[in-house]
Amino acid sequence: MSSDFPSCLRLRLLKFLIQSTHQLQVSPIVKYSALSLFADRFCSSLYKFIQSNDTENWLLHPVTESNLQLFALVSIWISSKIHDSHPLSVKSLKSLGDGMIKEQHFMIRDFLEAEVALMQVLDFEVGTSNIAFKFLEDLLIQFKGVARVGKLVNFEACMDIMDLLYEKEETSTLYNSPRYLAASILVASYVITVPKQRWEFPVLPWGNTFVLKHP
Amino acid sequence: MDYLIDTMDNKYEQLETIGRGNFGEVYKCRDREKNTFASMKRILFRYQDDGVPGSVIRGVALLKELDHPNIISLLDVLDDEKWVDLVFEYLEMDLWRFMGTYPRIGKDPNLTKSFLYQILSDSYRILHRNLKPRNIMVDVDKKIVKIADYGLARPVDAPVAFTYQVLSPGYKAPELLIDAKYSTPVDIWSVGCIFAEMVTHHPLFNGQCEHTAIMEMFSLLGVPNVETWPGVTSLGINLSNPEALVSGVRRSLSDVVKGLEPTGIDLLAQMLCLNPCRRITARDALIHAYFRNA
Repeated sequence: MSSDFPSCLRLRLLKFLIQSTHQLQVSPIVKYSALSLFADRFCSSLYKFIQSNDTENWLLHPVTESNLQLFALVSIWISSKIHDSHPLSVKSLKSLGDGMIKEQHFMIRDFLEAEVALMQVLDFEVGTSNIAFKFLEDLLIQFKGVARVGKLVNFEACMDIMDLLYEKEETSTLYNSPRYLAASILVASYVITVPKQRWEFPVLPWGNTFVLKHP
Repeated sequence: MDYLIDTMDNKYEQLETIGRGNFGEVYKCRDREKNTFASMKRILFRYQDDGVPGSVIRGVALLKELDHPNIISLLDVLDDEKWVDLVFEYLEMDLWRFMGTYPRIGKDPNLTKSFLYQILSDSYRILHRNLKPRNIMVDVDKKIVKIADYGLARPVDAPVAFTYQVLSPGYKAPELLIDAKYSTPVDIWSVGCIFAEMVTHHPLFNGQCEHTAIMEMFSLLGVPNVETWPGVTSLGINLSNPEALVSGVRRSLSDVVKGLEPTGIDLLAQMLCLNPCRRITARDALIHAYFRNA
């Protein structure tokens, strides 16, 4: 999943997305689904889309940083619609955008247009049931079921690792193998957050079985 | 219908209307390039400021992730500011028309068994909530059934509360009629009703309204009590006078669903268990003795 942008721009955009999710106080599943839509999918298929479609959408001609910021906000919006029973309103996204996007003032209808454009770029592949965060959640529940020490694994640490991995393009390619990544993050978080004298569970073999059981 | 013509994208030619659903109409259309038929569901956005409705996004996401031989596949998505068009593969015949058109072939016990197996094999991963003969398409030549779920389904683990009306009363599980929390067992109930209908070619419950549907159900399956369905009293039906909740002569399932082999009656009874917690799961139904000699 190589990104189509210079890595400094990509990093700024992801920082923008993550900050926005924190300001909007969305749940972790909304945050990581939005990251998956934007970082894993949108960023890597945008130029291919523009080349193979003679789209006249002004949001894609040219692709400016503020337009990309709009797409980042729309990723959060779509993700919230998928997961929340009371999704974020376009107004709340707009007022956040008004404050954070400096170069351009986007109207509500720009958000609506960007929503459809984003889904077109993704070829409507907006499913979020196979993302690393989902697998990580499942894995942690199972882990707590088989080992008491599972309670000591810090989920916040797992999420911090996920954020860190998005910082570099090389590490964010790991999101292409979400199940392996989820198992690795759990093990890393176990090592970091569980006190050494409590390492009583064979977490590596167990994690391996999980991955092998569902290749 | 003017608005249709200018946006059909020139890719599809719109033919007749073939159905109406919660979100909008379903049209038959022709792919001009491939010269094949497709069905197209146009979903109008009621509140344009909210953009594409979450239910549509979830439906599309799910259909894109799914690739199951017993589900009608999503071929294309066309969009506009005011609506989305979902283009699905097209099959001429639905199960309701199939039963009417082929009264003899349609009652072949092996065919019923095969169709039931196909319907169940899809349904343990997805919550459809609107299963009925009109939503099940039949490929008559290949003897394949496909569930036509035009965007109402959601993954089984999705947490959102289900608030809107989704199903005609005749195929609705009791916990839906009386508004309890529900989940995949509702699909099994509907499939049970469809199973009985495939055998007899008559709807098991006619259920014009919620009240008569409940009466029909209790008349056939017995009035539930706290033993058969713990928690039933909290569902808001008055069970103090059970006689008032039944009508007509009590009949058994094997009287009503005539011609079904005994293992089939047993499976049907387990699918039509009033208590959703005790209702058979799709997974268990698929290994039931009824399918053993299939």
